[in-house]
Amino acid sequence: MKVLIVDDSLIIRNSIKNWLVDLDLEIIGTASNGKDAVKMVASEKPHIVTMDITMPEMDGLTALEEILKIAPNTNVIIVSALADKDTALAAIKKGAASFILKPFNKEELEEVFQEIMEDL
Amino acid sequence: MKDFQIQIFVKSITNYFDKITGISSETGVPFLKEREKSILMEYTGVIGISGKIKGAVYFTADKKFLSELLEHITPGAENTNENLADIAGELANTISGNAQEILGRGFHISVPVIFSKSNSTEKSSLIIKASTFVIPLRWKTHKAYLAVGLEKEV
Repeated sequence: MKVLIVDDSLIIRNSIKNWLVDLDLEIIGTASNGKDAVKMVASEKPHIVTMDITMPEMDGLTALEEILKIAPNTNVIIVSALADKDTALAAIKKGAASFILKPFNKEELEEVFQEIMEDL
Repeated sequence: MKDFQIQIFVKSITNYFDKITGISSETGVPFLKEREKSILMEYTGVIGISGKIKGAVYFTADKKFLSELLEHITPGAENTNENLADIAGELANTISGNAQEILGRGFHISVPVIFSKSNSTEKSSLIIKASTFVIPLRWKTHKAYLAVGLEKEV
């Protein structure tokens, strides 16, 4: 199962990559903004994308919409520090598969991935 | 700023270190920053706040603090300037974003602006019209500061 990690923080991209090592996944790449993420989804067709919201160039909610236009079956997990309920609801309304609130740990990340993987 | 607003940030700091490192941080008594006094340490991550509430939130810490935090988050990662600055920015971003739960959607956060002590060109982003409250924090043996300046009360 192919995964793309999108976050403007290099540390977060690396930690997500490290924390997914025990799952049967192929990390096909990372992106630091929504614009690059959309391009990578078009070319690499990942099954799952982890997506930050507050990023330069293109934010994660806009990227989510663009991704679902070109690859509607992509499971986009929003990974954000924005803690108000409206943000999570907006993401789910736009078609996000799940929402993880920062800060998070390995167990929480694995749990969300396992739920999605069971449904694929 | 009202006391409950400061407490939102204190709660966010506590939650961050508990969850990410499993080692609790201790926060000191928040104080009003004197304009002429600098609290900046080696690395600073700044989050601009826009919308109904304007201002900035910044987290500032020394290399030792951030190096240990880096080791908890991505064991074995190199202590490069880029990695340490990235952590300072991400920490400021996470704590600010979490505060949105209480401060509401009128509280929009920017992407982090990050600078180290040797680079003064970005310091203009720290000019906040509002009074700035500083929350001192200690994690393990290291100290750092979270500074919050918001122009409109909610």
